[in-house]
Amino acid sequence: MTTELRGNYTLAADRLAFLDARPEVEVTELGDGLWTISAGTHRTVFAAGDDGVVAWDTLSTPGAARAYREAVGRPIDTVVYSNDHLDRSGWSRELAPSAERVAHEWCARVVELRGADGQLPATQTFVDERQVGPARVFFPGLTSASGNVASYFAEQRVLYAPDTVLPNAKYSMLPDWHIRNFSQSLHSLLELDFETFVPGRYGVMTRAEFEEGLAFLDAVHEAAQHAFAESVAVWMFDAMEAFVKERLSDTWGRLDGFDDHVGIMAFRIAHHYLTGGWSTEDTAAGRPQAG
Amino acid sequence: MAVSECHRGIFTIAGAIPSQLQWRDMTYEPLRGKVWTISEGINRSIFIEGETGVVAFDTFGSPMGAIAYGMAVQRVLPDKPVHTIVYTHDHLDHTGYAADFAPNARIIAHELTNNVLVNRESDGQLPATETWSGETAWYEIDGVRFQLIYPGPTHGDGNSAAWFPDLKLLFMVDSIIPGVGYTFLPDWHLAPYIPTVKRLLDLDFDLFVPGHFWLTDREGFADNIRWYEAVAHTAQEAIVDGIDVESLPEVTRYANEHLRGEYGRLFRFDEYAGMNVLRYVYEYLHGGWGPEGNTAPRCEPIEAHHDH
Repeated sequence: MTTELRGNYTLAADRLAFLDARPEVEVTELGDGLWTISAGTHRTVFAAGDDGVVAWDTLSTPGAARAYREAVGRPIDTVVYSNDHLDRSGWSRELAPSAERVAHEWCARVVELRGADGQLPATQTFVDERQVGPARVFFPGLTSASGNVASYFAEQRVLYAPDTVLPNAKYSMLPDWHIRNFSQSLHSLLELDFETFVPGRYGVMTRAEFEEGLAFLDAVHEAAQHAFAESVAVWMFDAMEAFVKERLSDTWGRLDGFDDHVGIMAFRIAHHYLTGGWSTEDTAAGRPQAG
Repeated sequence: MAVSECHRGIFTIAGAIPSQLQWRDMTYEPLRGKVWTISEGINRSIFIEGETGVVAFDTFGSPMGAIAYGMAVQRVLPDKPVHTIVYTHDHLDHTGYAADFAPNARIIAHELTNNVLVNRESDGQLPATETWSGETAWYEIDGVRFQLIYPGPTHGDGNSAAWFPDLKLLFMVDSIIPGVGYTFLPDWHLAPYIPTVKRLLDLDFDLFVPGHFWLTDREGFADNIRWYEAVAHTAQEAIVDGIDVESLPEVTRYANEHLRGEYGRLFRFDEYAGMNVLRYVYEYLHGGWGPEGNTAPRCEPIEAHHDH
């Protein structure tokens, strides 16, 4: 390994060479001064203008962060952390160690608590919204992770909101999603005038595809709640999966990943209703427990 | 809004909720001293006979479960009302229905637990009438003496153990459970989890009452921790090996291949081993979830002296 960074992994260093591997990246221009970059499944955006270069997130490994830095090809002045997850913002030490780092205050708190070796603490935090380069970066309400923000590029009519809507059904167990609030938060994004949506993974989407993805999430949410209410054993995965597939296959079975993912998505949502949600984020308080 | 036939928890769909109305048959048995344990086959709790009434832990997970719990206690101790409920943590499947169980009882909860349920406003879940904070609190209620212990983040918010030192009995919900972990380890705080539950081994107990399934002992408690350690390792190896770690079928195949030999004997291995690994995969991809999942565990011994 040429990088010493390991995030939270505890395996021996010789097993972590994959972190250092340099993936192929693909850069596509989205509009004047705005690009999207993908490495494998993960995707993000960067912008260049009079205010310098702003990079959103870091991609998912130190090797990918290095490839990201090289693809940008200019010094990065500012890194925006869209949320706290290491596969999103975990490798700023590799991407741009001297840059300003902007994050929502809840994201910054988690980053600080975690102390992962590649994820440098935020240098600037905000609560509701702030302008960063060409984007209005704002908190749309709880969706997933801690302090997950959306970034709106009005001039290019582009919205970047990672770890929310995908162009497929590959949501797995909806990891670290806030089930009570995500739908309302995501619907609020439709008030923005965007025609291109950049998800945090997979391909760039149109507004119509964003709306379709949101409808899929809502359909799974409703089906999962009905399954639990109608006494499908909430602890039996096969029963839950069969219930939601029967309800949803005709409409949504065409989505890539539907067969492998819809069962665990519904299982996760049903457990929201079993347990009442997770912590104060899933209550009317709508924020983490006080530190 | 449709007329509610029973407390609805947090369901938002209209109409009756049949699962809330299902009757639950309870079985119960005396354990040690005046401590009883009760279960409907999946969830488990304890209640203790006091001099004038009953101290009961939790409420079970539905209105009918709570009603069945209350009737069972009344059957065992017919002249003694439930005057106190102790909440172990915030989740509705354990503490969601005091309104159906003993609506006028004194309710004790850790402040982290109460912060959640006050804001949740779930139909049937009553807020605590008194809270405690910090790591330990001794209680002597109606002749029933125990220590509540919040050892750090494990699961849910404020999830606390109850220790009966004179009986060498420890009760803790949704931490150590016989077999593999429950489903995808919902609301488990994995970074601090293993060191935090290990701290409980400092306590003098030889009977452990979990919140699900059957009783175990110190060795069963320690053996269960080893499962979590194995899952944490296997999840990292799955990422390193480059499988599609977001696909449950793929992760389940990997878990079977790498864990069945040593751990296939565990209860519900076939059902949940893959989900356990999937959840741990995200622990390493993401780095833990929220403040609770990134809180450094405490390592010093639990303050367990008997003064109070």
